[in-house]
Parts: sequence; C-alpha cells; structure tokens
Amino acid sequence: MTLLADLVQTLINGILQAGVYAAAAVGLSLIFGVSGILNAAHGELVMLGAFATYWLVSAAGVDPFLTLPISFALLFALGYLLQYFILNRTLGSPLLLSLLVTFGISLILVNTALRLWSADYRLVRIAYFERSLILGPFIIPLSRLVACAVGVGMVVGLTGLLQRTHLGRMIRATAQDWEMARLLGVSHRMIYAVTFGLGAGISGVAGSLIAFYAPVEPYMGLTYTLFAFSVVVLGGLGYIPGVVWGGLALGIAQALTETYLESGLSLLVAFFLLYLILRFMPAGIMGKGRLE
Amino acid sequence: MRFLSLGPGEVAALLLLLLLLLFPAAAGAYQIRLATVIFMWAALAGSWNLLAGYAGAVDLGPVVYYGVGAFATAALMLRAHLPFLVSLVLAGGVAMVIAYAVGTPTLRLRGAYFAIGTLALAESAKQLALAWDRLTGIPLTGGSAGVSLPLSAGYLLFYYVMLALASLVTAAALWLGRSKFGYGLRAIGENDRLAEASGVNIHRLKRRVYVGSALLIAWTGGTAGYWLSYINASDFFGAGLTFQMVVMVLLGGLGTPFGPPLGALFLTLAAEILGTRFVYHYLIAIGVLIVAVSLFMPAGLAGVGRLLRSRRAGVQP
Repeated sequence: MTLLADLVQTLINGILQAGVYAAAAVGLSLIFGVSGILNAAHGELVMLGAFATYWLVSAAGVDPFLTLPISFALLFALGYLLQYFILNRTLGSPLLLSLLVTFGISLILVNTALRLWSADYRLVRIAYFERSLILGPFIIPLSRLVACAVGVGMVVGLTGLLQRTHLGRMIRATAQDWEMARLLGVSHRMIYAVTFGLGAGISGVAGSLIAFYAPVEPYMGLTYTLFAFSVVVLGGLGYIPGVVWGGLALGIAQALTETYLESGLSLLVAFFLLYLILRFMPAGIMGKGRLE
Repeated sequence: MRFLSLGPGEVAALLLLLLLLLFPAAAGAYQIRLATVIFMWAALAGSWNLLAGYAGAVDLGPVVYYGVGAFATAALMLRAHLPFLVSLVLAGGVAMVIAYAVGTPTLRLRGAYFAIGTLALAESAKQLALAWDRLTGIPLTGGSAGVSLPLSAGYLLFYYVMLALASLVTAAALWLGRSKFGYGLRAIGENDRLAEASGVNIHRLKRRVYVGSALLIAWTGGTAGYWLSYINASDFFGAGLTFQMVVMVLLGGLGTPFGPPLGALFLTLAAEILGTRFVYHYLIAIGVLIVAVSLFMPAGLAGVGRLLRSRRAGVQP
C-alpha cells in the first residue's frame, strides 16, 4: 500500500510542478510561434519576475498575490520595449541572429541582476503559504497548489485571448502571414511587440509563482530557459496548448526520477527526454507542433 | 600545383605563424600565457565555425567534446600513466567515436531543432559527468569535486600545442574555402534541400565536419585541462564556453577563416584588460557589444576589412 501511496504522491508532485512549467514555457512558445524568435533570454524574464515578487514582498510588504499583476506589468513593458526597439531589427534575418541578440540581452540582464542584487539565494517568507493540505496519506503544499492553479489559469487565459478577442485575431493573422495582415491594416511591428510583451509578462508571473516556494537568484534563468525549451518541444513547437502536456511530461518525469532514482539526475532526465522527443517525435507528444 | 597558389591573406598568415613560432624568445611569461589563451579560443571558436559558418548548422553543444577531451586525457594520464601527448591523441580518438555515434542521429535535426537538441545534449552530458562516479562506480570525473592533474612541465609546451591547434583549425577553414568538400558544405549551409537534390550527400558531409571539429575541440580541451591542472565537470561541460565560442565567431566573422582568431584576440584582450577590474560591468558590456555587433555589423570584424577593400575598389558591397 505504501508503494502505491508513494507513486500517487510522486504524481501529485509532478502535476503541481507541471502547471508552473507550462506557465514558464508558454511565453517562449507564443513568441516563437508568432515572430519566429527563439528567445535565449527567456529564463531571465522568469528570473526578473521572481525578483519583482521577492522585493515587493520582503522590502515593500506587498501581499504576494498583489505582486502578480505588478510583475506582469513590469515584464510586459520590458518585453514590449525589447521587441520594439531591438528585436524588430532582426526581422527577416536568419534564426541565428535573433538567438544571438537575445543571448546578448540575457548576459546584460543576468549581470545587471548580479551587480544589483549579488548571487545570494533569497527566499520569500509568506506565513499563510507555509501550510499544506493533508488528504489522507497525501500532502499538498499550499504554495505549490496556488502556483500550479495560477499557472494553468494563465495558459487557459492566453489561449482564450488568442481565440476569442480582436487582439488575438490580429496576433494569429500576423503569425500566419504578416504581409497579408499588414495589407489589412495590422502593424506587424506593433503586434510583435505586444506578443513579446505578453510572453514576457506571463513568464514574469511564472517567476513570481516560483518565488512562492523556491529560492530566487540571478543565475536561475538558464535552467528555466532549458526547462521552457523542453516543455515547448515536448508539447510541440508553436502549438500553444501543448505546453500543458509538455509541462506534465517534464514535471512527472522529474518527480519520478527524484523518487525512484536520485534527485541529482532530474536535470539529466529532463534534457535527455528533450533530445529524444526532438529526434523521434519532432511534432511533440501530441503530434500537433510545427515541423521543420 | 593549385594547392600551392596562396592568396595574400594566406601568405600573411604564414608570416604571422613564423613570427609566433619565434615569439616566446622575445616575450615574458605573462605575454606567453596570454597568447596561449588567445590560441586556445582561436582553436575552439575556429572549430565551431567549421560547422556553423560553412554548413550552417548552429551547434550549441560543442562543449561536450571539450569536456570529453579533458577528462579522457586526464584519465589516460592518471590511470594508464601514459605521457601527455599520447593521452591527448588517444582522447581525440575517444571524442571522434562519441561524435560519430552522437552526430549520426543528431545531425538529422534542422535549424532551431538542431540548436535546441545540441544544447540539451550538452546539459545532459554535464549532468552525466557530474553523476558519473556515483552511478558507475568507475572513478573518472570526480563528481562535483573534479580531478587534479600533476603539475605540468612548464608553459612553453602549452604555447606550442595551442598554437599548433589554432593553426590547424585555421588551415582547415582555408581548405574548406577552396575544396570541393567545402563547396558542398556551403551548398548545404545555403539551402540543404537543394544541395541534397543536386547530389550532395548532406548527412555524410555534415557528419565529417562534426567529427573533425569534435576532434579539434577535444584536443584543445585535453590541453587546457593539463595546463590548468584541475578539471571539473561544471566548468568543462559548461554552456558558458559554448556561448563564448559563438560570440567570438560572430564578432570575428562567421564563415571566414580569419574571423574566429580575430574574435578570440579581441575578446580575450578585452577580458584581460577590463574583466579583472570590472567583472559584472565587463559582462554587461559584452552583452551590449553582442547586441550591437549583431544588429549593425553582422559580418563581424573580418567583414569590416572586406567592406573597406570593396570600397577602395569601387565595388558596392
């Protein structure tokens, strides 16, 4: 019986992690799908969101939930400006150029963060989150439950926005054929900037959610860039709802590794899974991604 | 004798090589050490350029072979008690075998998928190297503690080995610029479907370059490991090394034989002058530089020379 209980608890841990992974990755998928930019600074946006929450909670005493919209607004503005003034200049160039420019941006962001806040690990203390739901033999930490729910909520919200609103239609039209969209009066440069802003804002909130339960430090970005790549590729590159499936696959695979192998191997499993999927199921586990 | 018909650039490079061979006689220990670092980066960046600059495949995991080279050389020296140069040559063989096995499936990926896949492979390799001793019980990487090598026989050996590696890589790039093999590669880089349709065996060509550049990177890693006399998996498999290779190539000029050494020279000197005094400011400045060069000078430092020459000749670039 404890064997089964262990397995269920492991799956619960994996699913709780999956929601946050989906939220941390969906921005990467959105930006790649719309403007064809592979954003190497993606994890740094997550890191900045985490720091926004850390400082707002610990220095200004803001309620953690209130930091989420602030984090979104700050990162939206940063993303909008980055795309509008810098990344729009790479349109029509090979993939390598945007990869390189975003890598340069990630260097600037990481080292500015190090300069300002040092490499210390920082933990947000939130009294009312330090509790857990106890369901029989299973433990569900409240902070992780909230993070997972908000994360999945954002992915659902983004999908709704793309499907049902005027802005969403403009974004989808630009993604399909920017010249045609432009002929119909949609400025592709503005749409790319809004898209990057949305992706950055959601990544920032994902970072804030991570700050609810994990330490915050300037170097955390690279790990989340790689996790986001994994999730997006597992779910299918360019297929936005795929991030939920990708997040589940990554979260559960890591949780199983931590329980049944050893925790030091969870990154190895994550990255090797990514490689295998790329090689053998390039359209993702649901087979709905864009093929190259 | 088309092989011996050298252009002005190649003659200048040979003269420079001659000067560099004599350089240690005139220089102090510090200058020799600095020059060795520059050669090391020229060899690494140049090796990356062979695949990315000519075949257009953006490999974000070359650091795998740097680490393999360093740990294989160390293991052969420490466990088999072989001399350094013998260990280095054998470690190159190990890297080639791994590169052949890894490259065969991986090189089927294209564009962004190849970039992400190789980055994932490199991070997997790092985690595997960190866990190797615990997992297999065979002491090889020393886990997170790393491996110490015996103190080496003086810095001149490393100067000449690194110079030889940098020259070899540059010569390989020059050969790619004029051989049939090189034309095939550049056809792949420009349009791989078209190249395949024209009868270029794209997978075999790319795999040869991949394995060849893995060999050169492994030799450089093995030499660097013995030179530093301490290696650990986090550093020798770290993504930072890959990014530095990429940046040097793009600064110097992608797909040009002398671009990578120029980029290596420029960035190493910049790091030496600025990096020790302003650590974070230096990396922020490098970030700004990468963004600026990519946007305004996409052909790199080597491209500036070409631009000036074509201006003088009255040709629009």
